[in-house]
Amino acid sequence: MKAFVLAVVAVMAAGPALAGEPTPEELLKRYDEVMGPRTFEAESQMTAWREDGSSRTYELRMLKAGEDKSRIWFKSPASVKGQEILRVGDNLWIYLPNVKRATRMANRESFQGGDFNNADILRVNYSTDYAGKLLPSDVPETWALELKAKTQETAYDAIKLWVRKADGLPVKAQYFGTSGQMLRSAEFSDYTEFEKGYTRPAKIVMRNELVKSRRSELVLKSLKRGVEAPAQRFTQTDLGR
Amino acid sequence: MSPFPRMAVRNVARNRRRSLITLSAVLLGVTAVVTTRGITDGFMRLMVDDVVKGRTGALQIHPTGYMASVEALPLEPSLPYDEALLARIEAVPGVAGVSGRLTFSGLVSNGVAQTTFVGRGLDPAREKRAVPRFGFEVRAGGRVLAPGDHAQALLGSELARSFRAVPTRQMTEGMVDRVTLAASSPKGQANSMDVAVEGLTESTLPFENKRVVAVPLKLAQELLGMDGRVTELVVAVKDLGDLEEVAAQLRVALGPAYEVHTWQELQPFVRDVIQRQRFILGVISAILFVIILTGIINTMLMSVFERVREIGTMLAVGVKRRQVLRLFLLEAMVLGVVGGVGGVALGAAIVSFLGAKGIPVENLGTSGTTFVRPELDLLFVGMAFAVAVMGAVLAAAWPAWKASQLNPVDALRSN
Repeated sequence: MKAFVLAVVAVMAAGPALAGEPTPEELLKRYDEVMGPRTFEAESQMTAWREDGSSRTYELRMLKAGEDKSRIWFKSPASVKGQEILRVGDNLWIYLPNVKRATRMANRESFQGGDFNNADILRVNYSTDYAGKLLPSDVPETWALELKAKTQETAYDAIKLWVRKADGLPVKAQYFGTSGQMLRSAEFSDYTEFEKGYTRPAKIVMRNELVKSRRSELVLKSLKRGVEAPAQRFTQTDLGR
Repeated sequence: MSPFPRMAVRNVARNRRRSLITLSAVLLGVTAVVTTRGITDGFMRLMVDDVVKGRTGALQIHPTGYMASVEALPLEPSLPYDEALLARIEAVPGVAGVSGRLTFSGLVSNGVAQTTFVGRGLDPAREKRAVPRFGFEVRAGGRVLAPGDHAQALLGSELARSFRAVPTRQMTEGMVDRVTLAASSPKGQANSMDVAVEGLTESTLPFENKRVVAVPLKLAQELLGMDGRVTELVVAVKDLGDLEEVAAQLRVALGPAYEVHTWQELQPFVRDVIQRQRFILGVISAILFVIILTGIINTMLMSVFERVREIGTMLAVGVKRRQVLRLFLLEAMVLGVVGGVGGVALGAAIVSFLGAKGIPVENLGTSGTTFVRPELDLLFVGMAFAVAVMGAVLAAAWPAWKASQLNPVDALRSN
């Protein structure tokens, strides 16, 4: 009898592991680790397609340090060259080289007129911001997650996220407003090993679901984690240097 | 009774041609001033009605600090929209009604294109109390927001045109009757909602036509996650003449947590247009006044020179210099009164005629036509009349004094 109870307890305890089903928390933690490493430096290219079919490509460098500090340098085209974005906590500044001044901007504003929200790129912290729940997935070999905002300070009220069963890397995502309407959707692809043992999607296509002809694409060219990022680089006075 | 008034009237009647010239100068001048003023007043009424009775209301109340950053259309600081606050405002004497609004910015899209818009969440049940002409600018074929509406919207006509949006009843191939409004909560959470286009609005203010989308307050609150909150309270006053007084009383009643602004402060563009019109009217009136005065001075001088012998005779038979002076002034006054009455009558007739008929004018920046209805300001008419009479008397002062100073002997001898 005792042995039987033990066996049941053991089976129950091992249950989830046996089914191979991770908890939503684990999956979100994995997402944050992959998509929003604590400290990294990246070179990337962003292309924004407008509804009239035109597109614009930006080259940018990103530096992120810790949970709440990040900085972006625009390298091309010439019209935005020298512009910088600094984020410290909830505060966001944009630096314009021709006026040599930093202006504050709201977190909710779109990222350089594209369809990425500033929060999509600079603030990836799903395990803190959202409560996750596993759903039956309609995409083979993936886990489907439903994320619900824990506070009203997140960029979206809800997110649906599909991650690969094999390695927890994201496949696609849908972002919803409070009304339940889908605002944006993302597709992740070009899984690349940027560093030994660190693979992540190099390409994210973000679609504007309200205006289907609008989409933005972010392609990472290089990414280095754990780079040196001294605190002084994340001050307003350092902008433009 | 003094014979001089009768003499003055007779003298005026005797020199018919000369009097007619003066009379027509006074008459035309007064007519022109009264008519110009009538048209300007009609135009200003149109703008003030559009703004005060149709849009901003007479007064607006915001939380302190809101107006400092109004250009950014902040969602915070916001106001509670509750009966207690409304009752406090309505208790202030001179307040005719109050309603809450939520003004916000966002992106509007029709599935193909998107653009920024300024959203105005209105309380359809109360809005009419604060702006009596609520809905006046809704184009034919559409309808105004009504209590019970939720996912409905009114679009500025230009915005709707660029989006190919029309009310459902006017749907044709290639047009849309629904748009999606996207906006973020004060904390930055994105949200969007579909709304049906119920009507298009046509305003004299270009901005309203190009950028504004009006929705029911409840929908705006839901879209922005601001349940029970508004960004402004719109107040109507019983008499626009008491505007400043009511504003001052509201400031006292509400305390330092609230700011009260008049429509002039909220719509400086309209205020400036009105001030400019008043200035132009002032210049025109001044020019006409000078014309009237010149006419009278001329006639009176002529009459002094023509009537030197007559004056000499009067002085010789014992009429006092003071009486001669008074006679000439009386003649001028008769001319002023007759000309003024005629001018006022003619001007009033023209203004009433135009007022009944209406002058069609192109709207600023839009394709629509509105009617300016000239109107009579009785106070101004009275003033124009008084100025004409006083002007006539003043203009006659120098010739009259000159006449009274003639030497009777020389005067009798002259031809």
